[in-house]
Amino acid sequence: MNNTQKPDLSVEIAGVRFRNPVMAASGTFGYGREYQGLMDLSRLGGICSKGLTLHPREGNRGRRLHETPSGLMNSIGLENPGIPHFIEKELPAMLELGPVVIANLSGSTIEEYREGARLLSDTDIDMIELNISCPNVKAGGMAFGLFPDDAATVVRAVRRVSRKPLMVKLSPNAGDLAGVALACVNAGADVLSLVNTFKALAFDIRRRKPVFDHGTAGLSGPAIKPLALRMVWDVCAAVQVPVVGMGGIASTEDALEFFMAGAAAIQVGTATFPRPSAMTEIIEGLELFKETEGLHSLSELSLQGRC
Amino acid sequence: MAETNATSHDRVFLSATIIANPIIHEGSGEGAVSELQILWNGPQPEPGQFFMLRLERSGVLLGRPISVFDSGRGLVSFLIAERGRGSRELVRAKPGEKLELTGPLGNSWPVLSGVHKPLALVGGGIGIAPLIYLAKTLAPESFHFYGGFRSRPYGLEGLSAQNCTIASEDGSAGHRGRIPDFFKPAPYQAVYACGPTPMLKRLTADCAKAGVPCFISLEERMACGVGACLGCTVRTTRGNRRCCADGPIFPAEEVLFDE
Repeated sequence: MNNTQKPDLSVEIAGVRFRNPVMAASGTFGYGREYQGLMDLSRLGGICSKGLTLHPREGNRGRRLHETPSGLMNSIGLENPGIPHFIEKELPAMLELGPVVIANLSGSTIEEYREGARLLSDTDIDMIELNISCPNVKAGGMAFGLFPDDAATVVRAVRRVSRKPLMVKLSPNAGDLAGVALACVNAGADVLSLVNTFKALAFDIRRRKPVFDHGTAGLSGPAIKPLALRMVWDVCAAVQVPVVGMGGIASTEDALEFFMAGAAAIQVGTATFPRPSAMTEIIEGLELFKETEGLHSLSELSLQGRC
Repeated sequence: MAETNATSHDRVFLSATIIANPIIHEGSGEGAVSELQILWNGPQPEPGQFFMLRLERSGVLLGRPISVFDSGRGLVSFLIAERGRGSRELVRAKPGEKLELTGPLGNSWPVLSGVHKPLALVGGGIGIAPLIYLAKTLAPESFHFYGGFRSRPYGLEGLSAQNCTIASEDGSAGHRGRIPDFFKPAPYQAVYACGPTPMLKRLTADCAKAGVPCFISLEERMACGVGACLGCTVRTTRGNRRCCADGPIFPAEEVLFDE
């Protein structure tokens, strides 16, 4: 019998206790239940819901997925049943799973974001992840995440109506990412998460048209990891709030690099698709690393200010 | 009208060993087709269900959704058609190699109660796989199988000739042409079909005209296979449905085919 205790990976972020710093990234994990039976959901630190909007959305027409070398392009277009449906039908089961519950909130207008945040604030969710970085919708979404002033406006609006800890998910497509990050923090963001997908393009050479009806789509997966890591590094250097890093993380080694960049926690998305056990393997890998390296906390790994 | 079997079966993510993977068909202008067989001690798949398959040493990112072709006695087999990089490495995989599987996934062919007339099982090309697996569970007199191929047929061992009608586009076996050119749904209790979209569209229209229930198994690009990513959406009269989790089998009259 092995009665040794597992190394403690728990972290507190914006007053929320996570049993470990590994979360399922929004849009890749539904509301959690979808993966029941394929992995031990209770092992996860947190689960970010599918991107939610006040009203139901059908999402985009045409092709929605396109695999590239070590990457995946998607153009789902925020298909979701709307926040009232989420609260009534999905949230109760999600709250039973055990991990920290984070509702990913998106919108086309400031008013929609604000109303959505108001509804979510009256529930038992632990945190809101404000999505200002979806590249696959015509209005809103990433448009709010490209410039500091726009980002500050939406963060401030949501901050005013929500008592929940607020994590703002940033777009790698912003020209001045550190500037957007700072603007979000100054407007009241408690946590930043990055990166969402990279706006990317693929053509169907047979039809001589873009693969996606929208033309562009969001790229995720191992292909973006070094780019994401650089951006997490830059944002960690620019802000004082905790940063949740993501972008192509598929292994313990990948995760450790994000902690070295200064991340307080990580999210895993695309890697779960081929390997539902990816996150639990990363958690076990981090436990082992912490123990064998004799670390007090994974935050000791940060190289911010040291190179 | 019978619903498709939307039961939530047990599913697992497991590594399995390939024990055989012979090429069973090669034709000009078509990719090769292999029958990939693995050792399987996970949950037993129902006819119509699929797995996400990916070689452990894979050079592609995502698993590929593949319908079950046969199962039992600790084995599961699949028909794999070479289409792109992902399917090519599965077709070319060697016995002894490790495969990672998620499944069994999706719904299964409906079981109709009080059936008096036989079922028509209509498969086009590689689309025969989930219908052959169903046929193996049915009494021989309870169905008639129609298989349409580009050229030489494959994968039909185990079906007896008297309840099997074959068509080939080049006339190399059976009727020359395509199944919907001559198929009449009227004598059947229901039509279960899987294959190329143009075939499914024609069967859907023919069955609607004849008033015969029709169920079709659809194929979409998938990432998760479990209903989480919403990448494989099928547009239906009841709104968006997930091919992987709500399907892959849908009542044909509900499916809104893209123009």
